[in-house]
Amino acid sequence: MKFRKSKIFKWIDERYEITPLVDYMSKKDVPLGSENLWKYRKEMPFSEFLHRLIHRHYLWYYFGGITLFLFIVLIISGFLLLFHYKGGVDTAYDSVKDMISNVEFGWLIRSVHSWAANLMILAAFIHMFSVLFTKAYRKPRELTWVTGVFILALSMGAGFTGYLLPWNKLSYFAVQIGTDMMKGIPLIGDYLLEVLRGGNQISGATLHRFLGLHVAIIPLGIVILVGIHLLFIQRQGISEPMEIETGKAKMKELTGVELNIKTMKFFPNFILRDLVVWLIVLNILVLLAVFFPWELGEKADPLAPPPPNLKPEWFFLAMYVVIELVPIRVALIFFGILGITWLLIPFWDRKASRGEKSNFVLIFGIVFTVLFVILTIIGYLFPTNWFSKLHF
Amino acid sequence: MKQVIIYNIIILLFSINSIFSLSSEVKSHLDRAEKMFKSDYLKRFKFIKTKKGPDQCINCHSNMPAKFKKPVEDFKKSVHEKAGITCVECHGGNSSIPDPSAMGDKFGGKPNGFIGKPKRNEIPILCSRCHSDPDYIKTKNPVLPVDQLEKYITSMHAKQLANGKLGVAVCSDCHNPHNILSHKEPSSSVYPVNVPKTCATCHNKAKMEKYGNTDKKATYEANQYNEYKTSIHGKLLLEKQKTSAPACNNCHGNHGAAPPGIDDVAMSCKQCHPVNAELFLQSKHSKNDIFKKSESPQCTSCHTKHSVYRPNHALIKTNTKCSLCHSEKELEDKFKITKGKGDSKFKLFEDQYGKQVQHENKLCIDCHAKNQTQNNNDRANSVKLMKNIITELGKQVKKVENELHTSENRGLGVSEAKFEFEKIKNIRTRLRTIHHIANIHIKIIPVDETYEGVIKEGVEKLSYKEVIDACHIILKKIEKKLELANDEYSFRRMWVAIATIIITFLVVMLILKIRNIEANKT
Repeated sequence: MKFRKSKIFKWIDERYEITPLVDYMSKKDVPLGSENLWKYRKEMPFSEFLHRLIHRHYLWYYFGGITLFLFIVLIISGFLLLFHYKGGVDTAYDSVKDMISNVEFGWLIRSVHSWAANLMILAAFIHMFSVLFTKAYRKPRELTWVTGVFILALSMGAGFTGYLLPWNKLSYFAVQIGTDMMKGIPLIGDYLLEVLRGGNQISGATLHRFLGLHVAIIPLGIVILVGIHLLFIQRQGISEPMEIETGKAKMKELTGVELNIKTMKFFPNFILRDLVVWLIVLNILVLLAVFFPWELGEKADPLAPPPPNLKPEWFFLAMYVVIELVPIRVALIFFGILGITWLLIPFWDRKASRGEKSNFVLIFGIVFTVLFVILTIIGYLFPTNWFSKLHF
Repeated sequence: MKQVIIYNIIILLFSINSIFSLSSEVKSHLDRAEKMFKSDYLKRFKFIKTKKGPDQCINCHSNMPAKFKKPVEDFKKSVHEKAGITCVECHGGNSSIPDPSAMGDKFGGKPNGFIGKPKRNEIPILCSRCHSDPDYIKTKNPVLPVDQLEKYITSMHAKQLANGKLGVAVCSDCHNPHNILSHKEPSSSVYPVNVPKTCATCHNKAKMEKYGNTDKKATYEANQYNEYKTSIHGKLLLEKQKTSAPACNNCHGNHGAAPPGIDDVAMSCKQCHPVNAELFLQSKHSKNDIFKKSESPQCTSCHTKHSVYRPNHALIKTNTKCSLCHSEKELEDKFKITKGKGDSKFKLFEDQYGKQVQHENKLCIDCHAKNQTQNNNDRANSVKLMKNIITELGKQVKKVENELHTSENRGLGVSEAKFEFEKIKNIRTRLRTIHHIANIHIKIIPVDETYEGVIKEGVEKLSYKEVIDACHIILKKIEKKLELANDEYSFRRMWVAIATIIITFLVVMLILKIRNIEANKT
């Protein structure tokens, strides 16, 4: 290795002893599935064969990396935005507008930040569902799943708080409706609402609170959780789909043949591939920012009537539809139960940790995913007053 | 028992100052209203308010069936409850007695001034006991007016009430008897957006007939709400929730509600349309007292009363607006104008150009202006010039608007251009009002900051033509800004292309590197 022989490496290694770390990383493998699978297709049940075949396309492994990359983009672009952003009822909108119109590449940074935020949440969702369906949360990776769910929740929180910061009409009223939901939380709802808003109404105090949450508290939380998440992955390695594990054993039992699992070195092979994907994502981000710039809209006017067909951001649309259709308190209790159930999947799905098939989790995951997608589409397509007609 | 009697006496003594007491000025005011509405309310009414401990009215009614409980529930949301007003202050009686005898002799107690549900002719007096008393109102809400009763007495409602028609509106019909909310509260029945509906609860055909008001006028008037809904005012207020748009009360008054007199119509409209009114007053229509002579209301003769719509070509159609007066028979009958003066011209015009003008969506006034440029007699040229400059401006505005829209969609910073374009929109709106003077060359349009940097310094007034020229200069400025924005867009595209090439190159290099590493390993 050229790098290891380089003066820079030696200089660093002499002071910080990084050789063991590099050794550790270069020994790590990414499982790619069985390489001699085709030969045994007749002896194996079709579904297991299919799983392994799919796994050879290890596309899903990249979404965790994409999420991380987009988070880094958000941190950098967020810092740049902070150089110019002036938090305050009278200054926030104008500072963003000025940034877009008069600051060199300000339009690009803002658009990249907004697009990266949305794509990060999308990538995190895909990553989560891929982990769910490959059952990668099973023992010993329970806490990796838990930290991941918290990262997603915090990311959605960052999206919600960041939405208000430009202080435009849409975000103002969307946040008003969003925070209004707090009232539905039993016992502490009203108190929480007041704490979050800094009063009864969305005001300068709310903007300052949201700014603090968006640029300091939530990112700090995400950084800590991402650190723990990555540490777990580094310690435990990348998970092999359950079917591969059970398939190997079954194969041996049926045919006496020990399957060879193809692997890839994490460093540098997988990291370089990750880099390729990151570069492509970066290019997509720039293209989106130029050809589909993020709209700023009109300045918020608390005295004006809310704009018609007001909707939250896409990742809250499914929740919004449920809240529109059922009484808010029922909806919030439902979300609470669903959230806890989701968070604790690795702990109640005992079958997965024993390496057994658990159709319940599979059905639960499919129903949740399909419902989430359908409700999001309904929320996007149908006007707000359509829901009010369905209230019961 | 003894203790209860002593306790009640003490309460009575302590609350003696809260027993109905009014200044002589307010009292005489109320006496006048009592005479007008034939009421003896003030003589019958007395109350004792709980000074200490719970309000017994609320206590008992809260535990009663829905019918009796509802007023209490409603009252808890009202401004009166927040101001510390209690039930007895309107209904009389003693709110410190925890049994039905609090409600006087009707419920087994002694007469104590309890009046129960007030009669309809008593309600204005009942409310005015506090609302006409400046000293009292000051202690609750100093900004509240105290002239409601004074105005109400002048209203059609009060006049009918004095005639014994108890179905007419009294305070509680508009303000809700118990759930009285501030007019700033969106759920209040008197919140601007809700006012038309509140008025329409009585001002509809069925209700009017029920009240015995079956004449033709009343039946027509009963349709105001439907007409208002379709008007420009109604659309702004009810659909767009623009609370500055007029509701019924803005033209008819709040408490002194009455239809504006014929001469008052322009005054009423003038409150929001001062420029139009000023120009109208300088027009031939006003100067020759055309409307007065014909006993027609001013603005509403052309624009209608409740279904006020944007003026359009329909105004010149036969048997509508302009032609209503500018036709042979009408002119003769209404204004005693000799045959052949205005009517024949209109007829001639209608026959020759009617369809064309309708097609081009023009108003009479768009062409009815004299040319003051070179040749005063050359009317054909004047009309041509007018038509040309307005059409040209319209085309330019449309073109710039489209370009602005495209630039905005591209996310370009065009806020300054947009700001300038807003000026054009405002000027064009104002130009419509200039029609009311029926002359486009009089220097009448005052110069303000809209024209900054466009016209010479020191000029105070502009003509229609000069305003159109100013619009063109502003449009040119906008186009320059849009050109810069387009350059910016080309620059962005160039950079994104360069970035894509660099990234693609890096991706290819990385893929080659990966292959190289993996080939070496194998």
